[in-house]
Amino acid sequence: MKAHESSLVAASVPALAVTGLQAWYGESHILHGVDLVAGQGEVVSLLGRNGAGRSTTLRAILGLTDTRDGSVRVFGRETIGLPTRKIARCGVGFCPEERGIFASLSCEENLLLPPVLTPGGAASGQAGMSLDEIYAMFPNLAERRHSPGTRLSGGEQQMLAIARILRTGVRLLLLDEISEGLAPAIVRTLARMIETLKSRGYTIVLVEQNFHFAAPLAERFYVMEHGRIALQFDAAQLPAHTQALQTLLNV
Amino acid sequence: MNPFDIPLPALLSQLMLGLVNGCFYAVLSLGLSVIFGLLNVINFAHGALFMLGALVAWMGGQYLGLNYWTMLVLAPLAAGLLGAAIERGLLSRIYKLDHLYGLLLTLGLTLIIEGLGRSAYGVSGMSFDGPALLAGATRLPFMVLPNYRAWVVVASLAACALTWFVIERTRVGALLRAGTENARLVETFGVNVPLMVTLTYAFGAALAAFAGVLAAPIMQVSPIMGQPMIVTVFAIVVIGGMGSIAGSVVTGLALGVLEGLTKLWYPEASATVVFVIMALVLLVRPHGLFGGYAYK
Repeated sequence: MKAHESSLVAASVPALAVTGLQAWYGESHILHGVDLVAGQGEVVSLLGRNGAGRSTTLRAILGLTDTRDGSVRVFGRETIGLPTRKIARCGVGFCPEERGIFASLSCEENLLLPPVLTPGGAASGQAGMSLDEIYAMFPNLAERRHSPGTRLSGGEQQMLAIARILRTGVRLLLLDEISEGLAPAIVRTLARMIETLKSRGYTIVLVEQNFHFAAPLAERFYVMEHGRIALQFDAAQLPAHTQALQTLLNV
Repeated sequence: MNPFDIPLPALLSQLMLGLVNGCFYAVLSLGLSVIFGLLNVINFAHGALFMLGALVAWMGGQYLGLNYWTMLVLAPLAAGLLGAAIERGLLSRIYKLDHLYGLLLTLGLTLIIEGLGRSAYGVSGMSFDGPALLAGATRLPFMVLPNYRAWVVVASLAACALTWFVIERTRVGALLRAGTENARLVETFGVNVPLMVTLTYAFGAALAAFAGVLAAPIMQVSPIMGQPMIVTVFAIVVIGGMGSIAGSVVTGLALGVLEGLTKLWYPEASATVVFVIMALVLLVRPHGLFGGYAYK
């Protein structure tokens, strides 16, 4: 499938289909065959303890690890052999754990930095959000638009890191630990934001350590351990898996 | 000599000479700084590219009868193309290695480029005529201002200002600044970072050659003219600190002027004053006077 068709893929094609994904940093073998699917418009959460391989999974999906192997299909297109920039152009947006706000850029420059990846996508109803829409969604960012990116508060930086990938028209968002280290009020705001994005049809992969943040938002859960998916279940099965989750997340 | 004994016209003309040298320092350290920021390569070939600018301008005049203004455009273009080829063909293969390898590679390139130039033209130096339009001098009430030197100052400052504007005020510049901080992340936005890196190196090379063409009519054009220049410019970059555009320009100009004034007051020290200051700055502020960016 060619890139320009990615905005017209059939609804039955998953936004993200990862099969047997392995990844290495140097000599360290981090991922040992991860399988994960996110249907279009779905919110799935990738849980696990520190070091289980959640962040590496997101980074490997984008080709940011040193080596990777297996299969990563983005809107039906195999990306395992592609460089990072071309994977992004299949329609993936990434919000890294460290947020990646650029210190030498103002808030608005950070926001406008990623190029729009799906020009003309408006016809298919899949254009990115306009700057006005983003400022309406994140009023704090509008107030701080001329501040240097790193002068923003932690919560504002997190919003900025998410907001800047919404402008580009990508439909698959990989969000790494967005609730980490933020005040409860901000975490609630972020949860409302995820709900809004979900209602707009975005596909979201939510890497979380904070299960209570992810629980009400995700439709399906994957729990990682030792670079593999140790457990997966739908939201409806959540009560049945409470015990297993306790073991995998807290011990 | 007592500084107050110096007649004003002598002081001003020495100031002007210093300023002209400072302009070359500014343009060269600016290019080094931009290249180091994005590529993490200490571009030792910068002096050779400066020399190539002057040499290509001379060759254009000698063999093709092209005038100064044409060569002021063509020589930087040629250096830019060569720069793009160097980056694509050689530098792009060693980004994963330590800084030191970039320095060694570009030092090797310098030796090759200068060696080729020496075997073709020797080292005695050739003269290159500046444009007739800028010949002569303007008599000001307090000094005689050579027109060509005034042009060098104006053109260099314009090049610096334009570079500053593009980097600090445009979208392309924002991508460059972001790439300097975290190139991998910029790539996750779908940006073609390798192309950006090639263009940045090509731009730095073109800027060095532009300074070389400007210098051609007032220095002897020779295959080794870049050597003293690059050594001083490295000291200036250390003093100013890598990464600040305005810092590179200000430091380059200030040290050129200081060097010029030292020639007047204590000529014996004029060749070393920059290095003495470098040593002092390293003791007090190892990151340089303007080294503010979070470089990796």
